[in-house]
Amino acid sequence: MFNKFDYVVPTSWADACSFMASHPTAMIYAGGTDILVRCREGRLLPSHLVDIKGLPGATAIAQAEDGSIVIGAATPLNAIERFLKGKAGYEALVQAAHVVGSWQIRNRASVGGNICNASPAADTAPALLVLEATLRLVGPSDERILPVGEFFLAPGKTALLPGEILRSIVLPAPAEPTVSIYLKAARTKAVDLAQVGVALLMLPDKNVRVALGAVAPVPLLAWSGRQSAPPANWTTEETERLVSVVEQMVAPITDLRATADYRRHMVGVLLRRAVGQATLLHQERGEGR
Amino acid sequence: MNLRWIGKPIPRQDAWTKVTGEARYMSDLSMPNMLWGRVLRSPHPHALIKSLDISEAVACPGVVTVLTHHDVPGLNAYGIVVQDQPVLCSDKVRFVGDAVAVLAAESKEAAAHALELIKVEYELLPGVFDPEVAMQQSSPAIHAKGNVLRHSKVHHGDVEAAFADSAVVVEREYRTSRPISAFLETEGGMAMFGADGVLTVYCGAQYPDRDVIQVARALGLERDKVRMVSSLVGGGFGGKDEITVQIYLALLALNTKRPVKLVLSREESMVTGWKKHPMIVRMKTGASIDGTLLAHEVSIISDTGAYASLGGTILHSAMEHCSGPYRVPNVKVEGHCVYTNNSISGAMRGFGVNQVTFAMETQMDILAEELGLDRLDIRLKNGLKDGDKGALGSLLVTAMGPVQTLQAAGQTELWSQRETYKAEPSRPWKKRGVGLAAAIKGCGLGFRMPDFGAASVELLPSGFFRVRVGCPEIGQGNTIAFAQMAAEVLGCSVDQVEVVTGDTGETPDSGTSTASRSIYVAGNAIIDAATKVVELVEQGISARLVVDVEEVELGEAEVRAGDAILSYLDVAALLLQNGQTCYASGRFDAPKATEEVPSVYGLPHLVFGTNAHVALVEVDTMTGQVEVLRISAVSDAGRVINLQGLEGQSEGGAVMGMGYALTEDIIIDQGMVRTLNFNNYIIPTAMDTPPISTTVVEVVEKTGPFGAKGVGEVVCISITPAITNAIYDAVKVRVTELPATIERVLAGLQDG
Repeated sequence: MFNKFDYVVPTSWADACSFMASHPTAMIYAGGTDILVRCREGRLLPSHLVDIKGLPGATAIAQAEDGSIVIGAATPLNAIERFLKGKAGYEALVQAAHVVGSWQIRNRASVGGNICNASPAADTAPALLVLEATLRLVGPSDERILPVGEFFLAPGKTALLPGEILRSIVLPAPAEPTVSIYLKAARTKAVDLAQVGVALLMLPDKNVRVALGAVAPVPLLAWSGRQSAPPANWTTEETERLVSVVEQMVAPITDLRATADYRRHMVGVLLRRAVGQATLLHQERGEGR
Repeated sequence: MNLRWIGKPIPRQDAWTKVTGEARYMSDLSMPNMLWGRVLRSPHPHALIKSLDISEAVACPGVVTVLTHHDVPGLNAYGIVVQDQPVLCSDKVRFVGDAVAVLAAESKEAAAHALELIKVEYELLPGVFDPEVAMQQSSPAIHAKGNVLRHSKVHHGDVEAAFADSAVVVEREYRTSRPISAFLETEGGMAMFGADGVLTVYCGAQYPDRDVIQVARALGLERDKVRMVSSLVGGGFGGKDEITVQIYLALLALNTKRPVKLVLSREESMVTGWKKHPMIVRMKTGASIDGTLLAHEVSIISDTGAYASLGGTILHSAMEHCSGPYRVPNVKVEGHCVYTNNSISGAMRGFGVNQVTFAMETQMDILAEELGLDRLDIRLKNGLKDGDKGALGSLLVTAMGPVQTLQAAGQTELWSQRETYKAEPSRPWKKRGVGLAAAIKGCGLGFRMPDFGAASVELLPSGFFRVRVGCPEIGQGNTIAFAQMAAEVLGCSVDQVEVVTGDTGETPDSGTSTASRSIYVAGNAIIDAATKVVELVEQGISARLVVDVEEVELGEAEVRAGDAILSYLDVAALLLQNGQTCYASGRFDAPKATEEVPSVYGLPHLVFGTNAHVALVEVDTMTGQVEVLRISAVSDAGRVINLQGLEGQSEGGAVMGMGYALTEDIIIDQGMVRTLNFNNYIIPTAMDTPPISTTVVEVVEKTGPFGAKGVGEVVCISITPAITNAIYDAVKVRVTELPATIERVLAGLQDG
């Protein structure tokens, strides 16, 4: 059963922002794959749904001159996967976009919606965290750039101010040859939400980043720092040190999807596998050159 | 037998309309001036109703009627066997979801709003959620007569002596889960009063003729003033065998004299729908050194939830099948079916057999391991044959398929090449295993219940034949099988046959579309009717054209009469003049065993379908994830009527039994259903579904139509232990509790 709401189609970002500012119970609508489900369940009761899909650049994805990639907030996950597939360094986001819901859902669901819901289990969030994405937030009077790491405040709560809308996501160009991986644990091969999500990024300069989903109140950048070895000379000891550091960071809960113990266990399992896949990928790339 | 249509993979007549969405389920129907119904349900698992105030809801704009127990004109109760479930609760609620009031409004929104305005004051009672606790005298009584719905015992042979003679005795406890059908179409439909004073209820259901009895009884109407239409149905699986929303629809239409529609949301369906009985099964099985089963002692405790429905019958079915497809000369089995405040359990594909077969087939693997025997050999050695005695000591006199089916399973590539399949897991930390299991499942309603099929066949003026059968099309494909059987007898093309099912105003009562029975009983009735119609046509044409009856022959597209060749249209024109008809009804009474099993009502069954499954799994030893990579199914359906239909049943059954093995479970916490939708009630997705191959073994049953038996249920049973046995084969984790979730498997790996 749906609560009554008005469907609003703004014609400019400024209009959209001022509408949002003057209607505190309005909500932004992109793919609708989460919001409509929650409206039906009565968990959300928006007065208005403001559809941003038609706004300039909202569903566009393009590479800028400096090599960074700009993704409109309402871009469907399938479009992101298509655009980024084969681009070195962005593997984690390709993989994360690919494991959300089902093909049909990914044709609608947007990356902006995935992170603005601020679900701790959002698949794209750990990938964006390790890629050090920045968010372009537009407000009624001005706009600002926020690192994605500062976006998630609590379950369902983001840093968006009243009237502010996520307009686009910018992925900086990764240094060559960066590799990244996203691995998800779930109860079925499709459709299920993550029990645990682990994103890993390895830079050529020994820097490594690890981000986690569904093991804390928010998607978590659990590690960002320099290891003692580059990916090519990575050792098991290196991996275990990383795992033990990352495992300190988690505070999982028990719910119907998984127990806290299982989540804790899976962080290590998935991180070890991610390291394995990333070093292998790195090796393959090296050989291919 | 030279068969023209039987066994052929003829496409279903409803395939196209279902794929395009043109087909209408009962819950798709709508009418001008239609009202929307809603049911107010108890939020408490066990409580007394102290007061009930509907005044605000009645006054709510758009609300047309609000009904409580005061407004049930007839018997305020329903139930297939025991009528212990209130239509609308008057003094007490017994599970979360128990119906307290029902209302109709001009819109869905108004109905939803009005629901919130009904005030019910409850006095909470302690709930009982553990069936073993519920059995104790000291537990709060859910029903006045106590919490044990059925307690039955059977002992034949001398179990104690046979255990003493056994070389090995395996004793384990098994616990099974609470899955739900998860049918595509939730419970719903529409009801309306006609100008003729007949109340028509359109509702997806599995036995419209019995629904008429239950609706008429609750409404205090004569049965002939109620018509049920229930075909096409978007999936039943047993979950639409009992009353779901029929009585609510009827009450609202009766009170408003307007069409009323009511469709349960998925969440409401998950909370209030019929689930498979969770059972605690304790098994002690003894065998000689060569693997011959000698003794079997079984205790079953079945949680039927708040109301009886078919709980007692399902317990008995579980008892009857407690030794699986195997011969055991000495058996002692005791069963309790117990009320709790946990939702409601009822019929669901397998009818108690899934639970005990999971247990028995695990016992067989343990026995094989302890005796150092091959898993297939020990099964073949003990497989039931014609002339053996079943678990309850009754003589098996029909065509039994376990040995042939298991032999075929042994010849599948998956089993014979299992070491090759297991040799190379996809990752170093994964391990593969192959499991084998078999099952039998009785077809039909057993010893006591009237078990008949009825059908009519008539020649229409268009030259087509119409077949009418009560058993509804619930998605299983009986319609096309009915058409094939009719065409086979008539001689005409399948395309010349129209089939009508599941409408009490149009079709003869042919019993339920449950219990793997509709092909068997209705098929025989169709053969009877069609045979008579062939005679009518032959005699009619013979008389009209003055040729010998022997010279009249019904063919695929035309009828030959001596030298003349007539189209079916010509035949109809000749025979249907001046109000003459060319119509016959057919009847089949299912044969019964010569004697009833003492002390368990309604047993034994006479005819059994058999299935075997081989499953290949890959277990991730680090995560506990189980992936089913391949399934080989072997089905003994007797003579196959429609190969495509059989494969559909086989594949659907395999996936359903796979969900039962690995993920599906309605989780109830202190009476509250927590798995409200498919986000947490986990059914296998298409991506989780492996290639499934089906091999057919036709152990022809001479009492069946063209030799057919029923397989609607048996196809979903042995796959579950085949998968859990494969898990053991892979990683030595013995699954004794369903489902084998990721975390349970991981816990087993860590313990080991």
